[in-house]
Parts: sequence; structure tokens; C-alpha cells
Amino acid sequence: MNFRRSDFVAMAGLLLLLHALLMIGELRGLPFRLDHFTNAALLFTNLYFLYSGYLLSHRLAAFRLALYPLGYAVLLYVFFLRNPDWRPLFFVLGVVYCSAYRLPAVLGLFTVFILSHIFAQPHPWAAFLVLGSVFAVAYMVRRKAYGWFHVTALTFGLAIFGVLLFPIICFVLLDSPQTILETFSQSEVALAMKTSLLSATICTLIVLVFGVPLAYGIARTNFRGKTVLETAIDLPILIPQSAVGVAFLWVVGAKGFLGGTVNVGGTLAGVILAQMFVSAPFLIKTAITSFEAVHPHLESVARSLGASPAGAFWRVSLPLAARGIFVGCILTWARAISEVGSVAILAYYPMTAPVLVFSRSTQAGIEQARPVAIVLILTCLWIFIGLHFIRSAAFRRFVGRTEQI
Amino acid sequence: MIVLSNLQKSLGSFRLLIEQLEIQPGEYLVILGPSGAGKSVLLLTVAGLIRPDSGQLFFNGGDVTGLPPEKRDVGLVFQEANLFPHLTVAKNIAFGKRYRRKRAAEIQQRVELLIDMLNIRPLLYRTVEGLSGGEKQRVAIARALSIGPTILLLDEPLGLLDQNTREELRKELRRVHDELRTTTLHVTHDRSEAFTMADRIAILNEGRLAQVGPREEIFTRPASEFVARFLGVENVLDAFAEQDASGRTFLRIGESRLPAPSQYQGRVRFCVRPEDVSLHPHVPPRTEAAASLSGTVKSIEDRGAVLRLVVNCPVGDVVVLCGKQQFLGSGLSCSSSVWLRLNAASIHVLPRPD
Repeated sequence: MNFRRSDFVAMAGLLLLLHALLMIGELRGLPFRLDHFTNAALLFTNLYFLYSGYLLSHRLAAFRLALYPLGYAVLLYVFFLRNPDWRPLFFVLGVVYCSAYRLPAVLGLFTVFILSHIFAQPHPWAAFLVLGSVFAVAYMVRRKAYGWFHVTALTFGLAIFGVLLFPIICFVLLDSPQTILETFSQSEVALAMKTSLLSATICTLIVLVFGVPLAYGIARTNFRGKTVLETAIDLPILIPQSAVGVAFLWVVGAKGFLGGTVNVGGTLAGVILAQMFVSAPFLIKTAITSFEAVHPHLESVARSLGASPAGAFWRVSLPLAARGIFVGCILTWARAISEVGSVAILAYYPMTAPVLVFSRSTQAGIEQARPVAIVLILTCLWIFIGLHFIRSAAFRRFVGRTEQI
Repeated sequence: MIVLSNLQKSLGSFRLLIEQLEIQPGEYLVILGPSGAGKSVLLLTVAGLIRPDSGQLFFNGGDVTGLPPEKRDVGLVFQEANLFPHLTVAKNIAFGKRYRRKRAAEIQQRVELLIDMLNIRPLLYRTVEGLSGGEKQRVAIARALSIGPTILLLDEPLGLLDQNTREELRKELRRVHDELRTTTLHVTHDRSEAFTMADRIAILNEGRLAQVGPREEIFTRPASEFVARFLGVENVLDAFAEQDASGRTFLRIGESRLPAPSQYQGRVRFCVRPEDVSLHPHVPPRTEAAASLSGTVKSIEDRGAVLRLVVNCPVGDVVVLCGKQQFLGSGLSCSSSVWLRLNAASIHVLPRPD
């Protein structure tokens, strides 16, 4: 579709005339009135729209070109006519829209932004973050020429998952940094955070010490009942946390039947014990997979070259599985620090941060619990990101079993 | 000398039984057999990675049956190179040095030698991932030989390589062997590989040795129908062996009678290679040293330079390889009547199964 320059000039002239009439105030019958400044701004925006349309007309197919004024009309309606307060925003958006129309990626993000402003009040930014990431992923995948089925599957799943994440993102975005710092300086919160970090770290280290040998043994042997053992390792994921807490309390609590000799109720050891129980499967499972990915022939070769079984483990299998084990550690740590149910039952004190959030939300109300929760989320998030960064920086990915030759 | 004596190993329904196998110092022995024959089990038993149920294994006179692999000094190369992916090429090759501190200097010297011999020097500081298949396998061979092993064990080392690389590496392996004279046990199912590499060949079938001998002997005088067929001798035919008054043995094949050595009398089976059978459009002149058979061409398969014909004869179907020009020039086609000639010299009477 090609517009000639004269068409453009004629339309621009028409527009000028219209605005001139508005400016003079001749059209008094209009449902709204504009001051001169707004009228002038609208004129320039419209001229820019027209000019962009003229440029676009040379390179776009008819369908996309027809959509162009539609988008503009939506902007005009939502931001200019319907919400008079947002008129300045409209001028900016209009110009951005006209400029972005040639770039599908920018235009898509722009559309997502507008949609979140229209539909996701009062949290447009959080919605934009979620929907924008969904769009970005879908767009990148689409550009790589995967079939529509893969793109749809990914986008659909991601969109629903984004809805799940939405509250967390709103939650974190909507608090000022001052409140967060204030919360952190409360001694109760600081102590709870310290307890949490300490117990989760100790828990991970202990699981590491017994989980790695266990995983290695399982990966390298085959025996009757191995599947039963592997299922047993999964068990803690399945059992409700409160049941775990009660069970432990019944055995090693103050009034438990081993309580006389071992009593961990209300101690840091109790916290760690409860955390270990629920988090150990994550490390063990990942470690099994990592060891299984190391071809047994590699160990055989190491043995033939003179390494003892332990030597082959230290020099070959462990370095090759290290990346996976580290990922397992991250998961275990994350699971340990987020545990509430069993910890609260077995060892309410010393209070960990999640237990503090829980207790405040039941006793002092949501508003008291919220800052602590945000502090907890942010701390965990940053440590999590940091650990993943360490993983990709320090541990190379090795091609193990599927060695190409 | 490596001696395997009465080695037995059962794995599920499979059973390996090697009554006696000796590998001479400096020898290149190829174990050849179809897949599932137990070749790898045999090799891993020698390596010490599989413990035999019974029997003994001697390295240079010492009993090593109970020793773990690290105490045996064996070099091991598998089908996949199995290089340590977290180490550079240089560190891969030097891996064995760590465990032999007393011989470190000697091993270092050996490593240098191998690096030059196998042309690895340009790869030394590369990571393993970027190497091509042939390069990986060369490094694996160097690593296995670096410790100066009593025996080098190769488990289908060239199996995953492409044709050209494979042939190149065959030559290189053989050259390295000729220079270092390391006793080598090479397992393969590829018979052309076996014949180009081996000093001696051992044929393994269903866990047992079917024949052991120098490669020419295996090639010309297979000990059983299985060996004959496995080595690509497609013609295993019936004949009748008889002895005249002077003690000379004759074979009656169809109408013909020709002198051929045979230990047996009566019905026997003999084998003849397709390339040793000649094809004639007319009755060939009678001679003492060749049998003539008449038949009709049953099928023709184009194999590029040659044609593979199946000729239906009174004694059974005979496979013949025949030059394309020769066949087409004589105006023959499918279902033509032809004559076959079998030379007495190329006939091998198979021993009777016990």
C-alpha cells in the first residue's frame, strides 16, 4: 500500500484545520474542552502519528498497517478521553507508540505495558514485570523459528506461572527501602534472620557430608530393594511438615521417649534436625543424578591407570559431579531456610525468620508480618542468585555420559 | 607372557569359559566375535574390572587373579575415548604418573615419546571437549600406554570413528605397536580390522574360543562352519570324501572328482571363498585340479566393481563374485545356465563337529 506525498499533505492540512478550529473555540458542541497548551500538544502528537503512518505505509503489509490506527485509537480513548488526568502520559505514550511500531519486540513490550496499566490497577508495574517477561520469552522463542506448538506450550505455561508469582512480585515491589531497613534493625528480626541463615547453612553441610556418599553408593550399585530405598529418600517431600514436627517431638522432644537422653526440642539442634529431614532429599536426589551421569568407564580407566576406588572417586567422579552436587546444596539450603511447619513444632525457639513471620501473622496481624516477610524474601533471593552465579562461574558443565566422539 | 587358564564367569544366562589362552610378549592378539560373544567380558576380566568365578590369570608368571586393576598395570581404551573431561589433554595423559612416583621420570620420558609418536603435541593444552573423535582416541591410546603397561587392552577402540579416521588410526595403532612392542589384546567384531591389525586372531563365540591361530591360518583353514561363515566364507557345501588304494583322498562334488586333502571319509562339508570360484558361460575343459559344476544364475547383486551372483547348483546355492565387465561381456543374465569351477587348492574341508 503506498500513499503519495500529496495524500499525507492533504491529511495534515485537514488535521491542522481541525485543531485550529478547536483552538479558536468554534466547536463548542464538543463533549470536552481543551486548553490551548493541550490542544497544541495533541496537534503535534497527531502530526507525528500521521507522519509515522506515512513512513510505515511504504514498508508494512496492509493488515499490520490497518492495526496501526487501531492501537492509536485505544491509547487515545484510554489515556486521553477516559482519564483526563493522564493526558500528559498520553502524549508520551503516543510518541513512543508511533516510534515503536516498526519494531515488533518493542511494540509488544509497549502493548504489555499499556495492558497492565489498563487492567492491572493498582499494581501495573508488577503486572508489567510478569507479563513483560512472558512476552519476552515467547518472542525470543518465536524468533528462533520453533513451531507454533512449542511456543504456545511455553507461553501458556509461563502465563499461568506468572500469575502464581504475581503476588510475590507485588509484595516485594510495594514496600519502600526505608521500611525494610527499619525492619532489619529490629533486634528480634535480625536475630531470627541470623538463626535462619546459620541453621540452614549447618543443615546443608551436614546433609552434604552424608548425602554425597549415599548418593554415590546408590549410583554405583544395583541391588534388590534399591528402588525401595530411592522411594524412601523421597519420603520427606511427601510427609506433611506438621506431621514431621510431631513425629520428631514424640521421639526426641522433652517428653519424647528418647527425651531423657536426647532432647532437641527448643534448641538450635532441633531446628537443624527438622530442616535436615525436609531438605535432605533435594541434595541426595541431585547428587545421584550427577553421579549417574559420570560414565563408569571413566572410573575404570582411572583404576587401570593406578587409582584406587577412593582415588577414582576423588579425582574423577567427584569433580565431574561437583556442579550437580552444588546445585543440590542450593536447593537443600533453600528448602531448609523456608521450612516452617516442622521447625515451629519441634523447636519454636530459637525463632527462625519464617517462624517469626508465621507467629506475627497469627498474633500481631499481617501488617506486622509483612516487612519481615519481605526482608526474608529479599535476603533469600539475593543469596540464591549469588549461589547460582557462583555455580556458573566456578563449576564448568561437563559432557558426561553422552560423550560425543 | 599373559596366560588365561580355565577362566569362568557367569553373568545371567551368559557364561564365559576360556580353557587356555596364551598371549606371547609383544604379540598383537585380536579377539574377534559377533556381538554378545563375551569379548568385552573377557577383556574386563583381564583388566581386573570383572572378577572371574573360577580360573586363573597370569601376567609374566605371576598370578594376578585376585589383584584389583590398579595393581595390574594394564592400559585400557574403550570405544568412547573416555577422556577425563575436567582435565586438559596433557593432564589426561599424565594421569597415571601420580600413582607411580618412583618411576615418574621414566613415565615422563615415555609420555614425551608417545606425544610425538601419536602427534598429540598441538593438542596438549586443549580441553577434551573440542577434540575430534580421532584425536580423542589418540589421546586415550597415549594415556593407556603412558604407564608402560604389561598389556594394552583395546575394547573396539575404533568402533565409533568414521571410515577414513578409522583406517588412519589402524595404521597408527599398528605402527605404535611395532615400535613399542607392547603386548596387546584388541577386541572387535570387525573382521577387516582384525586381519589388518593382528598377529594372531582368537575367534570367540557364545563365551568360548572357537579357534585361535595366526591370521593366515584362520583365514584359509577355518576350524568350523561358524568360523567360516563369520569370516565371510559364504559357500559351505556338501561333498563325499573317499580314498583310493594309494591313500590319496578325493572329494566328489556333484559330478566331479578332484584330489583334495581330507582327514575324513564319507559325507563331509567343505568351504570355498566366493572370490575363489570362477564363472564360465560354457563347459570348461576338464582338469585334474578343478571341479566343474553346472547351474543357473538365481540372483545378481551389484556391488560396484564386482557382481555378487547366487548360482543354483545340484550341491546347493553357490555365491560367486564376478567382474562386472566379464559377466556382461559374455552375454549372461539372470536365470542363464553357467558353469562354475572350484580349484582344489582353494577348497578347505571343515573338521567335523564333535
